[in-house]
Amino acid sequence: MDGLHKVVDFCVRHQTILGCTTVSLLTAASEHIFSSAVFKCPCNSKNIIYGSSFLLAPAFVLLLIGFVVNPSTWHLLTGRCSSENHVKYSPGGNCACFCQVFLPVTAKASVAPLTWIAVALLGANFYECAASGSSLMETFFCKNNGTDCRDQLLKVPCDEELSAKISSERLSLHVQSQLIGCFLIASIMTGTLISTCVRRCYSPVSYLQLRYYEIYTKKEEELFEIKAKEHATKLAERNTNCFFEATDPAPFHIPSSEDWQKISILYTFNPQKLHDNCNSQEQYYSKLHEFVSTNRGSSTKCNEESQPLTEFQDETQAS
Amino acid sequence: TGCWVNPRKIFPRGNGCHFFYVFGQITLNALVAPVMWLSVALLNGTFYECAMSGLKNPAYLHTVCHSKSEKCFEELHKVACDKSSLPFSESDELKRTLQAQSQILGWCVIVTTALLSLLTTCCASCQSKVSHLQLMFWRVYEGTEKEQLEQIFQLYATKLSERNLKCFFENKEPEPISLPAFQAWEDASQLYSFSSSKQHYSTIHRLVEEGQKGISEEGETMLDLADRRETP
Repeated sequence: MDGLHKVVDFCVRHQTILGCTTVSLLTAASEHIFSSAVFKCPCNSKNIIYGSSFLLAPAFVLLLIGFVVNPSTWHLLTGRCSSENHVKYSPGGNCACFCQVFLPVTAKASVAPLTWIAVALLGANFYECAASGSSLMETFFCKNNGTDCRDQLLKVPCDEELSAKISSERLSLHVQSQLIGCFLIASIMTGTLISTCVRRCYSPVSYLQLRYYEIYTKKEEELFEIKAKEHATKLAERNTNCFFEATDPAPFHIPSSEDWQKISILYTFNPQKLHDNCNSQEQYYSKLHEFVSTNRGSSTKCNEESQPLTEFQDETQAS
Repeated sequence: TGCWVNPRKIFPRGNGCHFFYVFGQITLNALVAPVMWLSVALLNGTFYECAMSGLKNPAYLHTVCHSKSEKCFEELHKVACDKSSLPFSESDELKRTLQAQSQILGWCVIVTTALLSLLTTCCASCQSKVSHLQLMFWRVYEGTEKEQLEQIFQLYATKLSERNLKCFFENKEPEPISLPAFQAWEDASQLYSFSSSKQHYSTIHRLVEEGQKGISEEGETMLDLADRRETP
């Protein structure tokens, strides 16, 4: 039991990395299945379309799926264009905040498509088929040797001996594909490391406070679901009982739309700015925290000056 | 349910488009399985190969049999069954071409469907009158209300049938059990649409808060209130 606890703790602590690894392994397995069972290069003028569609179409679909399954996407989008929105978005802050949330969402959604492309390139079938139909490779291998060489190049994915014959002095398509795949993996890893380092370097908060903020955000999401279910159950019980018994409903507090709007605003944790403008003791880890601490969002000096933190103008507070 | 007896149920006065909106959502959900079937079948290639090899369209035949022997035009439909008299390399190439067309078409279907679904969901989300967290709470509430209704139906059905059977066997007078009236059931069964001025999460919630008597008297006026058009 102790060992199991340790394993579970490890999984919870490193769930991001484990999540990415699982997605990558599943993508690699599907690529292998597609490559061996479904893919058959036609070996004619359609090579480039066929090969490219197998290489890029699944990557694009995986990217879209990545966006859909991430709850932050819907948090970002819900109600943005609605005419009923009570919160006015200022254009400058809007763009910066949108980017601060949109870029990590895109990065997370890109894991599966980039894995697909990298594994497909290492497998070499798709690239070999696509490149054998491209005019660039035709110039590279044939050097204007006429249509015979071009026709032979088109048949290369279906015939290994032909491949060896054509690429005797140059890198074969197979090797090119694998080199590009390795380079892609190396550059993605380097890029991820550099961007994480830069982001951490520019972080306005210390390491421990950032760690606490991350844990708080997750905990608040989990507890929100539990509390919402409890509250919804009580409300549903009251409503169904009143419906059947034709009695008057007991008073039951439900947050208003305005309250929901206030706590649904996108939030970027930046206690440094608040420290300059306001009470230095107050540091809010979420909009909910701020809402509850500032007396349910009613006007206080501190709340009005918290604009730089949220970068949104609340219409009701300004009036 | 019940729309034949009272068509106003699906086309209430002043809110005719709501039916199409809900029907559209149902259709989109129902299309998931057929689109998946179609895309898997196209990626497989055999159905398309069989279908298109029998197509007598001269333009299509010309595209497929381009730079092949004359026999291709007459024997293409036999290629799918390996019964043509064409040399192996040619029939193999024709099969590969047909399969390639099928798979490219399959990917096009998948990509188009995925993109359209994402765009419609994003647009719907963007236009939402409800904030993200309230929407999450609303969904949770809908689920719990359904569960509660099932439980209470079971409870009341048990009570009523127990009372009826007891009275039948023991020849006693039945004790009164209050159940909702016909009109209350009708009102509770209406399709729900969110109103931003009222904090109601379902038809039953609205009925309970605004009083069932009020609903049965004012009938369709409440429906106008419950939709995008808000009466003062």
